[in-house]
Amino acid sequence: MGPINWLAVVLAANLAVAIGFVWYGPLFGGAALFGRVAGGHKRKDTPVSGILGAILLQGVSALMLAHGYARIGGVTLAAKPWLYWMQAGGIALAFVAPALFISYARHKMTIREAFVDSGFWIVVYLATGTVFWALG
Amino acid sequence: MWTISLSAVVAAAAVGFLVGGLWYGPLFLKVWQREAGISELDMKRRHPAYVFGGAFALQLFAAYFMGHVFATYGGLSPKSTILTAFGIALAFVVTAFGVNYLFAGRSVKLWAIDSGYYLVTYSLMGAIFAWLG
Repeated sequence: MGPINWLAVVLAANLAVAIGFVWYGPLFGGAALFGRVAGGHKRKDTPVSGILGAILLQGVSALMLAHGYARIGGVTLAAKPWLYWMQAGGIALAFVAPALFISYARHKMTIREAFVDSGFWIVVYLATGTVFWALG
Repeated sequence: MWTISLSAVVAAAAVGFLVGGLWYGPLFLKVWQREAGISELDMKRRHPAYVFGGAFALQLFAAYFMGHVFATYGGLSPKSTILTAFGIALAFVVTAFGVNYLFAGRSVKLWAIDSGYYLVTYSLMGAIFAWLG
């Protein structure tokens, strides 16, 4: 197994928040969970804890992705660079998005919210793949 | 080309319903309803066939991709197969839910229930792949 690129992990950990401000701001502001008041809990105006928590949680995801890339190996990734996006995008598409759709149906949330949030994660994971490719 | 057991894919997709029936039934339904702000009336709003059909199709997709992951890894022990499935749920599904729930102002309890469901379901999916290949 190859080494883990820690710089890429740290950068990728911050991606969800950075992309989130654009995705849930100018692009789909108010459409989904970033701007949602749910379960009787009022949303805080400046969710600092949310930002720190998101970075921490995404750090875990980025570390696991790095583990996956290390398992594929540098030689294979150099020969087949598309694997960076296939692995990251595939995870978002096949695991994260279905889980969100199923859970949102259970929560009686709209299909639009499921699409917006799933789309967000697919973009975040593809961007994460790009970070690992660029710094690989 | 990798070989993926279709019987394992179908069984792994179906196990989500088994866990869901217990998880969002006798185990945590009352707490979950309270935390999610969902009433009994809300629960009956959408036709079950629509929800279950869609959920099964999505679970099939996830299970197939999981089978693909195991096939590309190759030669995993049953323990490693289950741990890998658990790791996928923990590192990708639970974290995504965590970020969304944080910004939505949802409770940690709700996150724990919804995340726990995926940790158990994915672990069982891994066990099915370990058993059926």
